[in-house]
Formats: sequence, structure tokens, C-alpha cells
Amino acid sequence: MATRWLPILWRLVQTIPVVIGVVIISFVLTRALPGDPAVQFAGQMATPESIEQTRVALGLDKSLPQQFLIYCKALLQGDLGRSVATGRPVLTDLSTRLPASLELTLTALVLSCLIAIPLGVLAAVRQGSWVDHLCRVLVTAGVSLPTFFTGILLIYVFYYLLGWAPSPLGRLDFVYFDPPRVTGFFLIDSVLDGDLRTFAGAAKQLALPAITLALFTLAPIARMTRAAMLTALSSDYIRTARAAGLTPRKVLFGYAFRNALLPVVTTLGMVFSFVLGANVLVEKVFAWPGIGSYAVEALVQSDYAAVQGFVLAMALLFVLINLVIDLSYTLIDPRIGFSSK
Amino acid sequence: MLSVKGLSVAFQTRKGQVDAVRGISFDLAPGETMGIVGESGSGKSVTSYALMRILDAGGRISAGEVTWTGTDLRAASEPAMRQVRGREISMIFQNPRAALNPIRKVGHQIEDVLRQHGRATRSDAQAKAIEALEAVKIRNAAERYHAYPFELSGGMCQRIVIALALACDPKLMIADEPTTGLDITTQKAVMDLMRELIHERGMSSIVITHDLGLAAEYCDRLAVMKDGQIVEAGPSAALFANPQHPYTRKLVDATPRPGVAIRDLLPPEIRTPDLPHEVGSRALLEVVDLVKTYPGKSGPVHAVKGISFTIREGQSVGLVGNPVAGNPPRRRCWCGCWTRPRARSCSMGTRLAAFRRNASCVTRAGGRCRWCFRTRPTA
Repeated sequence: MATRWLPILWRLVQTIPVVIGVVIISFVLTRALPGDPAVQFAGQMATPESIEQTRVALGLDKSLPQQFLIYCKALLQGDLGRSVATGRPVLTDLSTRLPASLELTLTALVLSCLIAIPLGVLAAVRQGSWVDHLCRVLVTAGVSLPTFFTGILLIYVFYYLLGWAPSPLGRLDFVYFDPPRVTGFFLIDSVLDGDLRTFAGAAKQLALPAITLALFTLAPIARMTRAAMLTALSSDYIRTARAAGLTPRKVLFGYAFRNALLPVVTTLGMVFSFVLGANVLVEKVFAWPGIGSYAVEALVQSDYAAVQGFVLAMALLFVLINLVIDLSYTLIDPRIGFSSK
Repeated sequence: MLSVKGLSVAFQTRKGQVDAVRGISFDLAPGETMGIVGESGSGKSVTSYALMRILDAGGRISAGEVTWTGTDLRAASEPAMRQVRGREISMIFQNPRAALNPIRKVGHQIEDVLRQHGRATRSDAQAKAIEALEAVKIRNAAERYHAYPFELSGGMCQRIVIALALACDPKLMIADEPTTGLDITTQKAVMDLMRELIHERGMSSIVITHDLGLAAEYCDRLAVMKDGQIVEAGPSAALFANPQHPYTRKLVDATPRPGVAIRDLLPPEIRTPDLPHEVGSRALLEVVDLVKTYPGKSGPVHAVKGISFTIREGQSVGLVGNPVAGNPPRRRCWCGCWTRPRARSCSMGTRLAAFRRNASCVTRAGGRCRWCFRTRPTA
């Protein structure tokens, strides 16, 4: 059993240099940003003296290597610094905003998988049928409609015209209280609290932004599923399975689908990491207090600590997602082992 | 037992209808082995797929009758067909590694078939699958049960495919190019195994191949196909000894025998004259005690164990052997551009082994010594 875990441990060790690299790059990049944070935060009425004062207070008067050392030391103690814009520690900001983004992204992805994968499979099995055409239309629509547009369209139809959806303002309507924080996911926390009304409220609030994102992520997943299924179905082993008299169901799911899963999982991982950063538009449209909008605000205000914290958090998340994908590969495909790398 | 009358298969393609098989007829008696021989594209594989009704999308039986022990296979319902496939008629395929599901344990693949046809239950499936593996003479069958196809050699995979096909004791086995993709010694082992099993169980079989020699050796009767039609049929020995159709004659001529060269396959009128050529006395390449080792997982692998030969000016030297015998490393050793081989002497005027991995030396040697690699069929 030890030999089984060793490669996984090794894979984890391999991520350390990546993280160190990210720390360095995020530090250098934020310093390379245009704009002087001291000027920004000294305020409108600043005099050269007060700007200088702010600079010293922010520690920006020291040399870059010195600043970096200070940053690293704090980082090792789990201190990401204080956001100048919000006035709170970056860690606190991230820990409230990251779950919001994750909740939105994960819900959207689950939703999109539930539609895209069966659609892709059906489109591959019934090539040229109406399902295939529907798949093509959805895929094209999904990629060509920008998220802010679908978002606004959905708000217009379901909130303004039909009145089905609650006002698109954040994660929870003001009539509800935030559920006691356990995971930071409102859906889970409210269930843990046994408060089903809050759960319903959070779900309603989540529905439109999640659908918006799901429509966007539908395309790559459905397309990859269809292509992978077509490849799998035309393989020799499918013919063997059919010649052995296996039922179509067994051939399709036991043989073809499992083989097609590998590229689908790869795509899923890529889409996930991509969407996590790219859903800033959806967050803006729905006033979702997520990490994307936080990062954009921080960037605009040259809020070094917040930007660095964001980049670091995203990098760690990417590393984690890639790790999970690699691990799921080994579960799906016995040919892929860590030892071969 | 099996009777095919006027079978035609057509494929709908973008360029219109293509008739892959055009009205072929044959009968197969119980216990008989029949060979269908023809070049690629002659419709021999399509014929077998049509019998099993596993044609690709776009293909359909356009005319004719297929009768299997009294049942009309063309009219049979799909569920009825599934009962025939694997249980009454089974198939083995070319390129055995690709013919097995790459991510499923071979034992489980056999279990799938056994359980599909009610030959095993959840509790005894494993034991029966191991029995099926033992039947095709796989050693350590209990261990191999847990193997994935990529962990097995091509010959071993073909044995698994045979085990899969024979698991439910079918009455007819169709072998579609069973030896393609295997090296020559494995080919013989697989064919002998197949013949033995077929005779043991009193099965009929159809062997589809492009290799007339192989078909003649293993089959009682042959049918030669060309362009979707059977051009000649008859007992193997007679057909081989006295081919009637010009195409059959060409095939017989193309079967390798000692003393027949590739140029003998060409029609006499376009043959280039066999120019006499001088073999010079000067040794171009002299290889003495060439040794090549690779670092392997379990100690160094001796790919080349001290070979010696000389190539003189104007001479052709053939290296023959099984794929594992180490030809490619040897080739690379000559030019010294792989890694420095440990050879006592390997000279081409220059001592190649003495080369450091120096680009200019390697280029110079490469300029005087060119080689082409064969392309390996991708599995």
C-alpha cells in the first residue's frame, strides 16, 4: 500500500516549486503594474509629504528584494497582508469571497455536465439525428453568446418580465440572514443549519448566474464528449464487444463511455480553472461577491496585497485541480501511472 | 451449417453507393475450415461483418441470403442476433491489442461475454474466465486475469481475443486476419493454437487472410476474392497446385518460397534486368563485437550482445529477426549518434565508437551512411 501512496506524495512534492514560482511571479508582476499605490491611498487632497508618509507606512520605500523578504516572511506566518481598499486582512477577504465563486462555478459546472455529457453521448450515438443538430446549435450558441449578454438577457426575462427570479443582488436576499459559516457555501451551510428557507433563498439567488455560466461552459464539454465518444465508438474493441454479443447498453457505457471519459475529464479541469477566473463578468452582472470582482477592483486600485493574495489563491487552486485531475486519470485509465512520468 | 447465397453489401458514402461485396455464395459444413483470401479492399472482412450483422453505420446487406443452421440471419431481430453473436458464431480480429478494451482487465472482458450469454453468474464468473484463459494455454492464468491489454504482448493479446471468442463454445469461429500485427514466430504459434482448439471442439471456422500460404496451410477449402466477388474456390491443395484464374495465379506466385524474389512478382515485361553488380573487396563498415546496453527498470538490458559483420562496397546485408531482437539499436550504433556503443572496433575508415557525441563527426558519418526506418504499424 505504501508504494501506492508514494507516487502521489511525489506528485505533491512536485507542486512545491510551482508554488514558489507563483509567489515570485505574482510579486514581481504586481510591482510592475502601472500606478502608484501611495498616491492612490494618500487620497485626493494629498500633499507630497503625506504621499511620502503613506509610502513609508505601506513599506514601499524599501528596495524590491527587501519588500519581497518581508512579504515572504509574512506569507510563511499565513499573513497575506492587509487590503488597503477594504481595510481587512486579505486572508479574511479571500475566505469569504472564494467560497462564493466556488459555489457559483461548481454549481454551474455540475449543471452543465448534467446537460452536456448526455447530449454529447446522444449526439455521437445518433450522428446526424435531431439530437446531433440540437447539440450543434447549443454549442454554437453557448460559445458565441458572451456571458454578460446571456446574464442580462436572463435577468430581463426571469426577473423583470416574469418576476420568477429574485433581484440579482448578491448571494442572498436581505430578508434572509447569512447561514452560520461552516464551509462558506451557502447551500451547504444552510442545510447543515437545518434552515431550508435560507437554502431555498440561496438557491434562487444562485440559479440565474449559474445558468449563465453553465450555458457558456456547455459548449466545450458537449463538443469534447461527442468527439471522444465518436472516437471510442469507432475503435476496434467496440467491434469486438459487439461481435461477442454484448448488449448495446453494455457496449455504450461499459466500453465506449469509460474510454471517452479521459478527454472529457481533461476538458472539465481546463474549463473549471478557466471559468473560475473568467466569471468576473457574471459576478459583476449579478453583483455576486466573488473573487473575480474582488481581483478586478484590487487591480484597478493597485492594491498589491489583495492582488498577490488573489493570484496565490488561484495558483493553489489550479495546482489542486490539476492534482485531482491527474489522480482521476489513474482511476480511469490503468495505463497512466505516476511512475511513468 | 452456414449457407450464403448471392450476398451483396453496399455502403452509403458521400460519393454515392459503393458495392463492397457483390453476390458471393458459399456453404460451410460442420467441422470444416474455409479460407477467404484476397487483397485489402476485396470485401473479405466486410463479408464476415455482414454475416455477424456488425457492419459500420452506412453499410447494409443489399441482397442475398445468409442461413445459419436453418435461421435466416438477414431477417433475424437484433436481440436474436445478439444470441448468435458470441454464442454461436464468434470472431477474432486483426491487431489484437486494439481489439481489446484498453482500460478493462482482460479477465473482466471475458466475464462480460460469459455473463452476457448466461454462461456464468456473478459468483463463478472469475473461475470460468480463468478456465477460458487456461484453455488458450496462457500460463499463470489467474495472474493474467488481472492484466490490462497494454501489459501483454501482441501474441498474448491474440490468445485473450481467442479465449474471448471461444468462451461460450461457439460452433463457428471467424478469424479476420488473425495474424496481422504479430511477428512471424508468434503468427505460427497463434495459428497452431487456433487450429488445435478448433479441431478439439469440432468447430467450423472461416479464416480471412491476404496470405495465401497461410490459408493453404490451415484451411481445407479456399475462396479467392477480388473486388467483392469470389473469383475461384476449391480445395486448398488443388487451388494452390493448379490455379485457374489469373488473379489466383498471381497470388500463388506472390507467396514467398525460397528462390523467389520480389522482382519475380512483377510481370516479366516490366521487370528491370537483374544487373550483375560487383561486390568490392573494401570493407565499408566493419562491426566487431558490438555491444549495446540500456538502463532498464530491472538492471541493464542487453539489446545487442556482441555481434560482428562486415559490409563491403556494393553489398547488401539483411538483418532478420523478431522485433524484440534489437535491430534498431544496432542500426543506431553504427552511426554512433544514439549513445556511444561499447564496441571493440566499429570502423568505417574512422572508428565510430571513438566519437564523442560530437556533432560534426556524427554529421560526417551520417552523410556517408544513410538509413531508412520502417514505419511501425501503430497499435
